[in-house]
Amino acid sequence: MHARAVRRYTGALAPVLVTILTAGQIPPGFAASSAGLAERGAYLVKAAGCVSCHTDSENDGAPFAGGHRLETPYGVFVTPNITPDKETGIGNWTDAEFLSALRAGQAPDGSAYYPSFPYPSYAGITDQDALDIKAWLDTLEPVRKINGAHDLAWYIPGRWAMRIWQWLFAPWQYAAHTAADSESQRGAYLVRHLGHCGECHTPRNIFGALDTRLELSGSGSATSKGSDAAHNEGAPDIRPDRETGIGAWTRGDLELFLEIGMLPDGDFAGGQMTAVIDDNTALLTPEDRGAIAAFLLSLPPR
Amino acid sequence: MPFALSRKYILSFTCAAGLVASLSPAHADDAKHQQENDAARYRHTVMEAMGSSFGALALIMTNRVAKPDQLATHAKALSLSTSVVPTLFAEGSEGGDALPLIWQEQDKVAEAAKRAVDATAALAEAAAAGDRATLAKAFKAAGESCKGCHERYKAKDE
Repeated sequence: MHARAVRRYTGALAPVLVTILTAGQIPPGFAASSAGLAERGAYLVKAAGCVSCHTDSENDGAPFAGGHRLETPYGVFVTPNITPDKETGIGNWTDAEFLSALRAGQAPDGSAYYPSFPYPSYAGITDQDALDIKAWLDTLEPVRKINGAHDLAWYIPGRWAMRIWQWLFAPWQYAAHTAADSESQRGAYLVRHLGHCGECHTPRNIFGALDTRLELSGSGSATSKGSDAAHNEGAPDIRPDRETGIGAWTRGDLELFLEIGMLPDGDFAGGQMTAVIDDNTALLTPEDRGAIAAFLLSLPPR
Repeated sequence: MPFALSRKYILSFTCAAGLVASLSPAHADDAKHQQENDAARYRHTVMEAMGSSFGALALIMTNRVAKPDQLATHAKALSLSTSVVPTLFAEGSEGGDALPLIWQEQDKVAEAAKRAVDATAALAEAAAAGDRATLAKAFKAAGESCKGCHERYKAKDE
């Protein structure tokens, strides 16, 4: 969906929400149904990897209360608090505001987020999934925590400029995934949108936008040699190229890698992928890990 | 003939040198070195055995080989060979891929070796019990206990 379409859409959201929340439910069942949504949301939050960035784990910060210093080539971004605290978190947000933030990178005050928040990937998350994520976040204990300001490179413009950037680049545009099977379709959804794998594994242009023609073909100087990636900027090629990517990997190799982080040579993933495995892919169902593997192996080599 | 003379000369010199060498402390050093080498080779051989068991487990865990009933066998083999790891870094066994840092941090090495023994014992237990998810976690813990040590204490290939 295009960012402008998202915005147009969110304007007409209230009746849609009512429909979603009450679909097939008699009114007294509302509480039960919203608990059910939250339960789905708990799983989706894992698939979207929210906790890795929104937790200051270096300083034992409360989960989802933000404050993690996200080091990027553009400077250090300090992540926000997404617990339902009304003053310092997102406790006052409406569903429409949440959807706008998550998928279009627009804050409730109308300002635009830096794309260190991967909304250009999250733009493809379905309404239902996005609202279930919010339903689960709403069940968290509110944590009062104000996080510091970003510390960006001198050449990074202010947030006002992100409106223009969004207009030019967001959301990421992908060629339709043509494989017909529903498994690799599910994998594409997990990889491109919820899991936002491309944010690290796809190269960026000079404006910091993903070059989706080179989807997942690696970024920076990383090689596919596992823990070496920890010592380099960027992330390895994960397309099935035999030389540079995962062409020699089997589906079982990928499934086990996503579960425990072991590479086919017996080494273990290092660097940021450790958190991705522990907080995200290890917690998925075996079916979803299989779907991710099916999608990755369905891509053409670089 | 100067040539024949010089050959004889060299031969006798070599013999004398050999005799001196065999009686000198330098020869004792060689013998010690040989022992060191054997201790290092033994360590390397045991580690290879562990690596082979781990590799066999990995081939089954990734479904490259459909022999899930043999997971427990390899896990047990791994656990048994790992059980001698705490004895492999004694004084005088320096050499091979083992970095000198090991003998400067013996307490830390002993702890790490213990972790590997425990992790592989837990893996053997999980493999015998047969629950896939528990096994995967134990496999990860065992693999990371290997990696944890190798990163700090083993010479890098290259």
